Amino acid sequence: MDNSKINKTLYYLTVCISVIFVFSSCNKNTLKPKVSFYYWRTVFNLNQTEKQILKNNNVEKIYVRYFDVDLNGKNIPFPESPVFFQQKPDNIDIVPVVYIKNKVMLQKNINLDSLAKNIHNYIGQINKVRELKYNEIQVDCDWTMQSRDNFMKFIDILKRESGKKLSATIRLHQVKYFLQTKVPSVDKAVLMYYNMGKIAPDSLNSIYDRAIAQKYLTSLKKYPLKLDIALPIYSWGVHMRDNKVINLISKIDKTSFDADTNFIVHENSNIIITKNSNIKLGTYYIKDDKVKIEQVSEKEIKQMVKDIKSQLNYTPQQIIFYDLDSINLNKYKHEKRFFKKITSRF
Amino acid sequence: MKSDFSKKLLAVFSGIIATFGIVLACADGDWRYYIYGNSNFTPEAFVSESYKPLFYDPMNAFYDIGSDTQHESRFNDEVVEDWSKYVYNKMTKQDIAAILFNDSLSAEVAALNEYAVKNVRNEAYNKWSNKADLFNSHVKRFIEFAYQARNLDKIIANSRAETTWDYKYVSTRNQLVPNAVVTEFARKYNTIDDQFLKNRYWFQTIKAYFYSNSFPQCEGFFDKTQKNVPQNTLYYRALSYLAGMYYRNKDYAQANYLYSIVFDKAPQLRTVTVSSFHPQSEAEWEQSLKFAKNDKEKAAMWALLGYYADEKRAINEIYKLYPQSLHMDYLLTRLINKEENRLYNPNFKSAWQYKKGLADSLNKESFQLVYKIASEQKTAQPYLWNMAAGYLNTLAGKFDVAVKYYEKAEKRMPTSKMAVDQLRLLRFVNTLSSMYEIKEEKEKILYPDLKWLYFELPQNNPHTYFRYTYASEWSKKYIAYLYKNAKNQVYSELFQPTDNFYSTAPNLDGMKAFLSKSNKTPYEQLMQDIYPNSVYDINHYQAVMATVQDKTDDAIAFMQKSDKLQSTELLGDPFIGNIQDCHDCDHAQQQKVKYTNLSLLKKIKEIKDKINRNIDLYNNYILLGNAYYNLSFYGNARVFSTSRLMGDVPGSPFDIPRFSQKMLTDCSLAKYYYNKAGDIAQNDEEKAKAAYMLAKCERNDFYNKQYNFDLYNASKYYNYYNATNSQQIDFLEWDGFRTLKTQYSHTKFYQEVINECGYFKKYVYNN
Repeated sequence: MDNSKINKTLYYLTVCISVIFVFSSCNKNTLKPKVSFYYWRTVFNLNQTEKQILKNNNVEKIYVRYFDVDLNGKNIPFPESPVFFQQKPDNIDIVPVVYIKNKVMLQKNINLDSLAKNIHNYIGQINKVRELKYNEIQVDCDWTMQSRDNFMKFIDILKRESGKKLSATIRLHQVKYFLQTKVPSVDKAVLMYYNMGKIAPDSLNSIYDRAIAQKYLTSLKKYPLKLDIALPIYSWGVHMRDNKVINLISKIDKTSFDADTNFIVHENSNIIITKNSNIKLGTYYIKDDKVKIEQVSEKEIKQMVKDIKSQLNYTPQQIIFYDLDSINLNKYKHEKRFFKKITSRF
Repeated sequence: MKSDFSKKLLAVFSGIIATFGIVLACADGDWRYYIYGNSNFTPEAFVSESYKPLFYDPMNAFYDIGSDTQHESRFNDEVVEDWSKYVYNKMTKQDIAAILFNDSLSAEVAALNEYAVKNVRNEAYNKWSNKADLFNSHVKRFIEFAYQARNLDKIIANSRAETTWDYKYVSTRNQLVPNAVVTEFARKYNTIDDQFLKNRYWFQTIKAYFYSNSFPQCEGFFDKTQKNVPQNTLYYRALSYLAGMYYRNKDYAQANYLYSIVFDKAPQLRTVTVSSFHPQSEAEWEQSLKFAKNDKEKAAMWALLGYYADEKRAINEIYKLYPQSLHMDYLLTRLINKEENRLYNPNFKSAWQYKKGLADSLNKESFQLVYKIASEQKTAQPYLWNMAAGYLNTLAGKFDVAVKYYEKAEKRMPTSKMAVDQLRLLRFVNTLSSMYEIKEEKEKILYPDLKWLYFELPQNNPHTYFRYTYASEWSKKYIAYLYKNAKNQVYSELFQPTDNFYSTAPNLDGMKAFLSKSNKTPYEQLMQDIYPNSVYDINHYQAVMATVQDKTDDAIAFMQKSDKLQSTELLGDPFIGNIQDCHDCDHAQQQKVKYTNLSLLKKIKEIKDKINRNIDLYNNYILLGNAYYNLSFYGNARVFSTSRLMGDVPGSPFDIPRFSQKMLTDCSLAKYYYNKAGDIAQNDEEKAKAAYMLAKCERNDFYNKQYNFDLYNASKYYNYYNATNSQQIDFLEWDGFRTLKTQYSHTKFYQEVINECGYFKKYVYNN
């Protein structure tokens, strides 16, 4: 083989390898989950930070809590705290999320047809105000063995009634014991990878506890539906007095107490102690009250991804972060495309 | 008109309601939160009725009323009363109320308005002219006003449709009342001379502004007109709307200041103001305080903050500003009741432990604050502070100091029965708390109060709010521990019956001797009267014990001395022994002879006599086996051992008092007689039956081993159920099963067992 031939062969080989490389990397890219968020406030009104985050992370779709379904005094289901769109979302798809309290599904004589009709119709009324379109409804319900059958029937009826794609949130215990809790006939399921522990006056984190998560992790691959994943970026304060939980304070983190002389903040502890009675961010703290800050660190989010990835034999289509709120997002502002980077780890 | 402060306005402050929700959720299942069960300090004894919903109640949003359901009707009576005076009684109050509030009269009121304004005599005119003087100009003006007010309410009503599937109220909530409606009310206000009407149109204008969300206009209108408006109920209702508008506009400092004025001057709106008050930060709170025009206004602001979060801080501040403020007194009752609730410890195991626990945990700052204020005597009701200081000293273990404060309180306190009872109760708590031992002279000191507490108050308590039940329960427990410490087990049991007292013979004999004693002292009689069990219950218990020890003569003798208990009728025939234990079936089955406790024992004796005479031995042994089986926890005649002392029919062995758990679950005596039957059985059918009956006893022994009666360990009970659920241990290979299968499979009885007993069938097919 003369040199020119060798060079030619090498050239083609290189081109070939490059082409393969380019193709494979392209393929890999398309497999990465998309970034999405839950929006859980009652007035839809995105501020600049929130809009920027959506843009930076190429977010195409957000899951907006439209309303809760609760029971009124006569045990009739009604929509509680419906969302109001103060602004029309630009260039982004909105998926209505309906949180149905389990006690609704526990009603033995509940009229599921009428409930499905009402929910579908009410979503329509909300969307009409800003002329929003949608093609998916997500149902969020922590159903139990007692409410299981009602819930499964309800999903079937809502699907028929709305003609939309349906997705449902799935808790860890519903994944592990799916034979008992059953699997709703939805198009897509979202695993809620948070709210793992009890809200209690101890030092544990109720949002995420890896030891608890690991008890369920191996079940993920056995679940009959492919899962999208919801990850926590929220934080809250568990307000404690006399060793009892008295309140949950949302949208605060440790930095909220920095440089406030009314509180004692220790670097290595998630417990903040009230030094002087005072009012702060709408909450009254009495001397000696404790606030346990529950939040998930960046390192822990990466750990979650690693753990989940190790158990799934497919890549989730999207990762939904809970929840879109500048108070939560500020923790990650050091990195412009933080959420994109997290999802690319899958 | 209906709404003084609508649900819509409350919705603005749903954060507060959410807070209550969480507190309640945490309270779930926690006895600590039941205020009557842990309080000796009755706020009603000293504090004005107007504060009542704000008394401390950890279970509910509001004390006594639970929740505020008056949002649409709070002022109805007052409004009707006002209009009745205005129309010179030319229309009945009932009709005034109907015209103002009855939803089904909308069309009629509209038609009447046609008459009132344009003199159109229509059908409604004809109807109402018989009821009221429609020529009267005041009546006409009332109708016109009612029509307009109803129209406003109708628009606002959309905002109350929160529990329907109609989204309209959300999408339109910010522009609910059209400007034209507001302007019309304002025009009326400006043009009418009649001061009564002017005042009402003024209020309607503010209300309409609120629901049209016209904040600057509302504020401007209020500022411009308020000096001409009388400071009556309508004024403060309007002020709450204005406060709501400030709140909606996030001017919390101004909103909270206005709420405090309403709280101070309009007691009917106190539940509303305390729910709406929501300070955001210390700096903003300081700003609110600067709005206050004088110390009294500042005191009212602190009174709200005290309810909202911090009674101690509020009392401290109010005391500096205005020590005579009555707001401070209601806050004191909350401070004390909260402290009682916090210190509540029903699980104390000795008088010493109880007192030390209280003294160690008492909030020192609260104690010092009350102590200081009581000592300085500057408050409006010093007796309340003296009583509170006395009580806190009791809790702190300073019993002599408490006595002095109670003396001070007594000198200047009201003479109402509840106040007098309150002082007596606190003195009793102090006296008993000061005791470390109990002897005859102390019993004499305690006797009158104990009699009052245990018998007179429950029977003749005219004031249901008086909190004495905690003292009643606590004192029994405390005294029981004093006697226990003095090794007087019988007296201790009389005050606090325990689950294992009757486990020992000396206790049983001691109690029997006490209860049988004649010529008791009044104190002894009191102890007997509070004790739930009688000597008859004990005799019955002894009869049951003798029965299971196979001492039938003794059992009959004791049972005959058990009064009515000897006649307790058994529900099923105790001599039958079926393949399956089905109590309900046995009870439903027709019974030729209905046995009572006593007749059963006599029948047992008769059967034993037959056995002694060698009559029909096999059958009689089986009958005795059946009877003893059925008398046990597992049989159809469990009612035999029920009494006040031994408890009702038990659902599980743990429902049986500890002293008789083992005895009533034991199957030994039944086994003894089934074995006897097996030994003398004449054929394989008889042997097969005896073997199967023994297997039933073996099964019960297996169940019994899963419980640990000696330790009374609840978790053991729980584990037992877990074990059966997860491991599915339905049965084991009992000896009786084995014998039946290996030796008697050819019998008819064997076939019957196969047909009826699934476990046995399973055993046969698996082996």
